[in-house]
Order: sequence, then C-alpha cells, then structure tokens
Amino acid sequence: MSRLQNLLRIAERTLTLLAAFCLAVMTTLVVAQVVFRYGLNTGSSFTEELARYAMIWMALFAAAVGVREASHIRIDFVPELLARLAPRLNRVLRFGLDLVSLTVFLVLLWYGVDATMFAMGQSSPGLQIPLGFPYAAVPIAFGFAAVFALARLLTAGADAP
Amino acid sequence: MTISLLVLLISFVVALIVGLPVAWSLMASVLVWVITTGNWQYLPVMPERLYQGMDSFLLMSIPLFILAGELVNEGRITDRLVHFANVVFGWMRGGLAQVNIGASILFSGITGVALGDIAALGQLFIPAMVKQGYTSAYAAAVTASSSIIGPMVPPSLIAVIYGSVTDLSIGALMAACLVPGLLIGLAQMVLVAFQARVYQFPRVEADRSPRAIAQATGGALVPLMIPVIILAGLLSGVMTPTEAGGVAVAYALAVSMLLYRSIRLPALLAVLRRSSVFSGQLLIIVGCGAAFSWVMGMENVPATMGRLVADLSLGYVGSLLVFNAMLLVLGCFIDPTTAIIIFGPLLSAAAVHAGIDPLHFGVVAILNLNIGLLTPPLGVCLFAAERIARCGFVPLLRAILPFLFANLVGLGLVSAFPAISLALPRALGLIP
Repeated sequence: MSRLQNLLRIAERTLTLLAAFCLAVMTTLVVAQVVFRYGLNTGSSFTEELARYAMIWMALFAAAVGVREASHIRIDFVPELLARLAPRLNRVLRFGLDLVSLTVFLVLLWYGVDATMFAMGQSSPGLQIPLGFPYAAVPIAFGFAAVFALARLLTAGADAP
Repeated sequence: MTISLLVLLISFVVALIVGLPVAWSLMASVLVWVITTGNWQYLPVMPERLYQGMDSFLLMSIPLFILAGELVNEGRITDRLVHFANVVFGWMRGGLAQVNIGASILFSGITGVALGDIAALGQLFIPAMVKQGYTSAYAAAVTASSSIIGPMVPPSLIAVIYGSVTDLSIGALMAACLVPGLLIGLAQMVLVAFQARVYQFPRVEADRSPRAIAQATGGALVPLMIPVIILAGLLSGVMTPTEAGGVAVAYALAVSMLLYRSIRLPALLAVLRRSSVFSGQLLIIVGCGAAFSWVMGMENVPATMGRLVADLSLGYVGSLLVFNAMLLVLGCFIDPTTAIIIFGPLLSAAAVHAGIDPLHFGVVAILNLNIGLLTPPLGVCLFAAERIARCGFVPLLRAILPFLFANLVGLGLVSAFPAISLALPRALGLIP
C-alpha cells in the first residue's frame, strides 16, 4: 500500500511541476508576443497558439492534481454537516461521490483517446503540428484523475470499520 | 420544459448540493442526460466540448491575472499600500476602520480577488483594530465587507471571466464596474463614519506633514501602477485583456524580484504552482461548463428562457427586481465565479430580452453575487474573516448586518441607475 502511495505522491508532484512549468511557458509566450507586436512590429500566430496549448495542458494537469488533493471547487456545506452529525453516512456519501467522479473520468479518458486519435490527423493552423498533441492532454489528465480517484476509493474501503 | 431538460438540471443541482466538485457535477449531469435520453452518439462530444471550451486566447487572461495577484501578495507590496491608506484615511473618526476599507479599495486595484484581500489585509487589520478597542466581531465585519469591493475595482478577475463567457468587451466591463465599486466603498465608509460618531471610535495617529505624505504616496505609487497599466492598456484598446494580464505579470515580477527583492526563486516556484493549480480549477469548470451549455443549447434553453422572460412581461423595473432576487439567492449558495461561468451567459441573454443593457446587467450581476460572499450559509468571506478574528459566528453576523444593508443600498442604486455603470465606458467611447 505504501509503495502505491509513494508512486501516487510522485505522480502528483510531477503533475504539479508540469502545470507550473506550462504556466511559466504560457506567460513568457504572452509577454514575448506583446514585445514582438509593439516592439518589433512582427505579429506571430505561433506564439499565440503555443501559449494556448500550454494553458490547456496546465489546466488539465492542475485538474488532475486537484483530484488528488481533493481541492476542487465545490459546495462542502452538506458534507461538513454530515461529517459532524453522521460520520458513517458521510463516509458512504464520500464513496458515492468518488464513484461518480471516477465514472466521469473514465468516460472522458475513453472518448478523449478517440478524440486525440482523430485530432492526430488534423494539423494546427499556425504551427502545423498534429492537433492530437494538445488534445492528448485530455486523456492523459483524466487517466491520472481516474487513478487518483480509484486510489481514494480503495483506501476508503481499507479504513472502513 | 421537457423531461430530459429537467433530468439534466435536477441531476446537476443534486450533485452540486451533495458536494460533488462543480466541474464534475456539470459533466456528471451531462452524462445522466445522455443515458436517460439514449443519445449515446453524443458521448464522444464531451471531451471535445471540454477541450474546445478551454481553447481560447481570451481565457488565458484568467491564469495571468491570478499569477499577477499572487506575485503581489507574495511580494509584500501590501505594507506600502496600508501605510498610504493610514495617511489618507486615518484622520477620520473610526480611522482604522476607514483605513481598512480604503486599503481594500487600493489593494483591490491589484488583485481583484475578494478572498485574497481578506488573507492579506485581515491578518493585518483585525488584530490592529482589536488593539485599538474595536470588538473582534466588528473588525471581522469591516474586513469581510470591504473585501467585496475588490472584485469590482479593476482589474478584476471576475470581470474577465464574465466578459469571456458572455462575449462582452472586458475593457468596457471593467470600466463599468469601477464607479459602482467606488460607490460601494463610499457606502461602507459613510456607515463607518456614522457608527464612529455613535460609538466614539478613535482616530489613527500618523505623521501627516507634507513630506510624510509625499513619502507614503511615493511608496504606494509603484504597486498602484499595476491597475493603471492594465486599465490604460485595455481602455485605449492597445492591449487585449490577455496581453494586459501578461504585462501585469511582467511588471509585478520586475517590481518584486528586482526592485524590492522580496521574492526569490523558490518562492517564485511556489507562486507558479499555486497559481497554476488555482487557475486550472477555474478553467476546468469553464471546459465542463462548455459541455453543459452545449446540452442546454440542444434543449433550446436560451431561446425558451428568452420567450419565458418575454411572456412574463415584467417590464424593465420588474425584470431587474426579479433578476436581483434570483442572483441574491444564487449568491447565498454558489461562489460568484462558478455562478457566472454556469449561469452568466443564460442570465445575460435573458436580461437582454427584458430590455436591460448587457453591460449594466453584468455590473449588477457581479456586484450582487459578490454580496453573496457575505451571506450565510456559504458566505466564504464571512468564514475567512471569522477564522482570523475568532470572534464567533453569531456576533459576526450581528456586526455584518449594517454593512450588508449598506451594500444592498449600493446594489439598489446601481440597479436603478444604469448611468452609474454606463457613464464611464460611454465617456471613454467604449460603448455608443
């Protein structure tokens, strides 16, 4: 179990670093674009496109990290109430929520792979790279999200009475 | 309203209430819709909508504004603003409470996120106010209430989000929010001035010689250039919101790393991590929201909504009242960003049907939903201020009531007089 937890932690850290890296790249590209456009008067659709892809990768990596940290934006009024009043019921609810999340992730993973395969055949307007590269962020991120959710489901089963 | 639409909406609301994250609630309800209507051929559309919903140049302004705000928070720029606010607002009776509000107005010009305001200013002001004899509940109430000015005064993240989901000009929206934001600040200051007279609040002693004033102004000038740069870039049409966000990041980075030397590399990495995770969580809601709106479009919701508004024929004033009531209820349960991503496009279209100017409605919606940050059961700013002040929830509720009233009066004025919002963008030539 602890080896699995270790692997998960490494995955989480790597994804966080990658997200931070993508944000840095995106920011640099946007600033560079401003400099190019106003300083050198040479607009470039490459930078714009690449920055957009960096944002998409960042957002999806961060979304997977949020699953691991359980930090996604949500209304936690009912869960907090249940945690105080009926801890056992709350555990059931948490299990149910993780199960629904997992289903969503698996659907997005499955059809995300399809969409990526399809997009591999198209090329991006500016950079002329296969559109599958930015699209691949969807199945990869939700693959990780599914693993994180599955791990939570398993550990929840382990420490149940 | 068809049954399949009802299934979509009910499953979304239920998922939201039991605590499923907003993004997955949107996707799960789309999934339930696909299953119950048997439209299996639409399953592959879900990841495509998610991707395309995020694939926009404009949306990049969200992570950029968040990053700029985080840099300012980390770079200890707050101290300079507070010192400046002390000199400018502290001479009034109830000085420290006034300074708290004034600092929020200045500070909000930089981050534009209400919770960031509480985190940065609450730590500073709540203990200081208690030391001067204010009750901790009152200190928390002033801090929480003034924090909602932040999302109004440009550059505001929420205006960026509202503009990008409704296709309104972000520059015009920011300009439209400025006067209402200042008006709310003024309403709160008037209230504090009144309370200060009744309860004999103290003033703030500070050196107010011309030289000290000049020094404080000079110290605040560098950070205050951030909103100036953004507004000037946006309003003159020289920069897109995304580019303005990029320039704001570059400026904040240069100031905090080179001029003040208050951020070093490890701290920069931490800031990048925090900002990317936070903006990722907003963007994923935008993406999942795109899939959700796509289904709403399949169900003809926007058109039906428009017809419904037309059929009800509430008139201009009636519609504004109804929309405000709806938003106030919505704001009690959902945070403004989420509410705007999900319901913004729909409500904005409905408002246009009712003859309300979309820009005016945007300002009303943003202000209204932000007041929701101060109301139970889910007033996030209320909880955040209580956590710092540890004054107990009931005393805080009692102390916040007059402020809530002042804010609602402000909201009423902004709703009733479109000119408060529209005069500035019109004067700047951003709208006809």
